[in-house]
Amino acid sequence: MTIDLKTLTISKVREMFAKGTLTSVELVQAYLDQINLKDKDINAFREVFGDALEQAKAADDLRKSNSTEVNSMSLLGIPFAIKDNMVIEGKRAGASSKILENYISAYDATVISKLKKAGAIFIGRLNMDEFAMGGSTENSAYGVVKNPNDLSRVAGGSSGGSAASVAVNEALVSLGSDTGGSIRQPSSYCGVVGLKPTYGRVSRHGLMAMGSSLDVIGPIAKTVEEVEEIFNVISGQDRYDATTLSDENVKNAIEKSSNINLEKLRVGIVPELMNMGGINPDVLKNLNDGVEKLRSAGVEIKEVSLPHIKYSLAVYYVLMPAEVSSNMARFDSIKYGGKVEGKDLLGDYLNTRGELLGKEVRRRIILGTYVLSSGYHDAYYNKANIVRDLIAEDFKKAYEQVDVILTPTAPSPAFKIGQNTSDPIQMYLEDIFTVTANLIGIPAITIPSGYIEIDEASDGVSDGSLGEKIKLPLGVQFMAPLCREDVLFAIGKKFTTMIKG
Amino acid sequence: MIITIEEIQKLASLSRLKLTDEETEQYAKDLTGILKYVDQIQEVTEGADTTSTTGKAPVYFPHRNVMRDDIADQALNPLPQKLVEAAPKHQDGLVEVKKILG
Repeated sequence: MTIDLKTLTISKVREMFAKGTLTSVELVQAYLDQINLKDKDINAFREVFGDALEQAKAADDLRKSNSTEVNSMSLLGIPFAIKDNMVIEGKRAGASSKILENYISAYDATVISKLKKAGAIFIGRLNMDEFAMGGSTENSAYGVVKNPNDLSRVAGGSSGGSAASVAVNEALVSLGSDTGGSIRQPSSYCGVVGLKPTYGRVSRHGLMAMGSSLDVIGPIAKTVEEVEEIFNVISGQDRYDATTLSDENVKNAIEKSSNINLEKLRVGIVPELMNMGGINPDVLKNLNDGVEKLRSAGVEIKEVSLPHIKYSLAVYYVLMPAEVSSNMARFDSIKYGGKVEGKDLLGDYLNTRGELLGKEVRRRIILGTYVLSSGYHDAYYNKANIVRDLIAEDFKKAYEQVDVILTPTAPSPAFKIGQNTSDPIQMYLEDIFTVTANLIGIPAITIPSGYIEIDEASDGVSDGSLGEKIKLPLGVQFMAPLCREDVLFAIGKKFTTMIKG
Repeated sequence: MIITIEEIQKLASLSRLKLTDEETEQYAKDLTGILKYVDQIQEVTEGADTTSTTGKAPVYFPHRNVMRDDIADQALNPLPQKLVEAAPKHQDGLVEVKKILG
């Protein structure tokens, strides 16, 4: 049978499963076929699991068995693809790094065990920037993930495989991780929906740590509804991750924004962010079009001031490398991963880390070591923490006037492969709109907001096909107060309807 | 602030990374550029009494210092052997390490 993967959603699959018009085996086979067809070009998958069809068969059998446990398995037989930095027992996991080339996971990440409990199955692991450090997957040790809309462009990163696989229908849904925009930016570049939940709402047990005060796991899918459903399954307090929020923490946080009316959301825009320069004019126009559409749909739009947000990226590029330098110390050639022998223990460390960690990872370790070293600790690390608090205070004030804040997700559409590799600052600037949510822990979502047409010839790089136009997706980002993912789902659904209408 | 080759060599040694001469030179340039960008946070003069310096829970984290009882978790019981097997070098259920003291 042919399955229209393009319009398939979790709820449609569930309906077809229930009616008996589709089996999980057929569905997984359809994705495997699509991967065979497309992934030579896209490079989204690091590995397709050899037992994907077996897992699907087991799910089909369980459904047929009419066992009562099936009733509580909302995702029975639903295939997921997982970013290569989350562990699944018995499977390889490598964070797209040479240093973990032969690593086999000894246990399930909490998000994986929660998905398994709900009946989900796993078809493979997805390419990414090495240890999630990057915004284009050009830092993967296994090649860049290409943008399905134009193979000469990046899919974004670091969760490039997670976004591209969903966009090109190699996967129904996926998980990514977001430290400074790593779910939202690639989702925007590929034209799909990506959620960065509130810090602490989703357990990181079994996620390879990058920036521990910033990292969060989240879902990527074609629709807001699916992202919402997956979030509801994977969130919750976890005894294996002390940073997860208790039900009481969540309740208290929601009480602080209890005046929000989901039917009548007030949307904030930030002129000082839009006017700071460096934003592609098409991106600005797309945002303004979105604002006008919201306004004509009766949504109240208010300008808010966030005076310290202009420092977000600088704060992020102090704190994140500091945390990276500490987290990456665990790769010591002793406990797990690869080893390059030296003449003594120190030689093992130097050789292994020098040869098996990629260029960007080492750059961030060195930068982090610098900002934490005595003499610079006050000027950089402490100062950045002070500014981080000021940014959080700005948002607290802004949320007294509005319920959700709207920005572009990225300052440009997907860029050309190689365009930013020689200039780290230019690459880092792609995170300008996304890092703030990580710094202050708030949830944020990217929603597709249309396309821009680019004439390849006028873009400076012509492949001889003059006059050929390519369409690149754009996305907008909504940021809500702590633990108000519900606000993001409400505005996300409304915005999607408006864009499609 | 200009980061010198010598500083990169020291940082690389502190962070246990062997670098080639070419990489050292490149990182000196990169770090100089990145620090020039992040130096803009020095403009900020307010905020000395914010939560980071006063020790109060920051507004962005609703919780801090989460403790649990010090009890061995039986659910993790099968793990130790698997974890040892993940080590690049192991013998008789123990992780193998090169000699540390003289």
